[in-house]
Amino acid sequence: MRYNDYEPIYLQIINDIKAQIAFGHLKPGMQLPTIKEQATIMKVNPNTIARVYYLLEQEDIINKQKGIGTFLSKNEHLASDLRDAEAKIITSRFVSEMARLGFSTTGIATHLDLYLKNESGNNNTL
Amino acid sequence: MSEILSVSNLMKNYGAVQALNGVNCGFERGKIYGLLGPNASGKTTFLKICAALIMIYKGQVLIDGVKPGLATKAKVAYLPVDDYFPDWMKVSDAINFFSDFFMDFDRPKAENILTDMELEKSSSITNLSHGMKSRLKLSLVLSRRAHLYLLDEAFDGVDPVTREKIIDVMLNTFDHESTIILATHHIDYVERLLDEVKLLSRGKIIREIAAEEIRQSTGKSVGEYYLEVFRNDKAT
Amino acid sequence: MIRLLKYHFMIHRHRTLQLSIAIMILLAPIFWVASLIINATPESILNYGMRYSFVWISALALGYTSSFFPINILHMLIPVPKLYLIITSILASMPFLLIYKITITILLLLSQEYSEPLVLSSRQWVTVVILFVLTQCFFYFLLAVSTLIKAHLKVSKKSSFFMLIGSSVKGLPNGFSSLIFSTSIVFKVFRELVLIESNLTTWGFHSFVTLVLSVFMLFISGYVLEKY
Repeated sequence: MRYNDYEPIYLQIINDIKAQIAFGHLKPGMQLPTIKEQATIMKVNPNTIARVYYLLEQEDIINKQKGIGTFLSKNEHLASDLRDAEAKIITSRFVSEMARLGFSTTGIATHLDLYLKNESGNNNTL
Repeated sequence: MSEILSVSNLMKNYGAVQALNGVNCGFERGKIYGLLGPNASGKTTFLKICAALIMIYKGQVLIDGVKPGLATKAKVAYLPVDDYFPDWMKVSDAINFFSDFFMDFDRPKAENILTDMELEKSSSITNLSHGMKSRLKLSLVLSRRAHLYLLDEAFDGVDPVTREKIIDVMLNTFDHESTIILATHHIDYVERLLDEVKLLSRGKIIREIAAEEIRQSTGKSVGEYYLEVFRNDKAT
Repeated sequence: MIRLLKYHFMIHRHRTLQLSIAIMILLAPIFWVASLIINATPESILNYGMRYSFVWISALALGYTSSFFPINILHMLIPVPKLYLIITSILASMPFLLIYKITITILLLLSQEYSEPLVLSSRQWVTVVILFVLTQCFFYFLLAVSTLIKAHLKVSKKSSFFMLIGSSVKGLPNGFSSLIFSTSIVFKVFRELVLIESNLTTWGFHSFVTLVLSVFMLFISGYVLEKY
């Protein structure tokens, strides 16, 4: 995983894990590595991972089962919920960047429409 | 007391040179600290005092409530900058030495790490390259179950592969009972490992701040923050 | 303690075998040539200087091979009192006395300088051992003194006093000079003990005093080096 320089690392890891769930790389009920294992894999301070796991637990995304391990929530809707949340973030990022260029709401909608029409016309991913 | 190391008003001079000029700080258990600063800021002197190699100084240093000396040597694992193995030793001699004189040395662990680092037991230490010597030093030091690890420039002159291996071993050794102090100017490598950063300039601690806090409040990486602080520091 | 002994034995063994032979090979020709020169020149300062230098060179050969400075950074880090380090080092060097004796004898024979006997009587052996112990204790004592001085006076490391005495903990050059200093003084002052067959009582008294002095210096050194 590549880290940027301006956000706290624990935040970046949390977002990365959420993205992985959203994209389906991590499935519900899957077991996660222990804090120490995860720290070694990611080459990050174990306390940072501890914080990540703690916060994810607070959000009910993961749960710790004493003596067994840490698991991803079995919630079937988790992936789609996170996808929606992630989509909202991406959209807001898009909108604010367009706004920085000076486009109004209508302008943004027009550009988006145009782009989507072109893309489906060229038979791309859509 | 959750502080494994507490320092108050530490001063050390070499003749006319004031290496440490009133250092006040504390280090808690279960954390990895970065002691960052340019060359000649006093990092090595500080670590040597904590390791009980330098016994003459002013001020107070307490490791688990005890002054550095005979008793603390059993709890503190120090990695010096210089090579410290006698030239007659083979790798196996070094393992035996550590095993004989440090009660907390984990021999099976050491042997695993050394195999992983591609160090042969029968090799003569003088014939090893600089990188291999660094691997050896670090492997032995980190195979001790110490309360406090003082690592002075663990990454100096070390190639990227070795560096990664060293980081792996470090993370493997670390647990909530131990504390690691990394003195280095290679900030980029260690940024992600650090809980807290203490910046040392001309013998004084000028900043103490959590690594994540730096990013959160300044939007900069630790490396960038360091540059900023020391650029201004020079200007004053 | 035993582990320390074993460890120091390895240090001494390593140094002795290598350096004893190397020094003999290197110094033997020098000694031989020098002795020819001395015998050929009339009594003069040069002549005297060269004779005196033999003491130094012998001390050098002896001292260097006997590794008077086992305290390096590794030793400083292990939780073992410095006194134990010093004692075990001295004890572990004893077995190699025989090799040193042979080395010195060969060198001195070539110089025809001293009429030192080839085979020592048991009393002479005891004296040599005591001398050997004394020299090492004296060396550590010097080290302790210089450490104390550095601790309490603002003396710069580069001052000539320290160049002479040396803080031999780190580097060879400094330790080297204190080594020469201590061994040559001791040998010069006490060599009479070896060569003069004084009566048993006098010898006994001298030896006893020397031993007590050595032990005294030993404990002071151990204490000071631990604290500073």
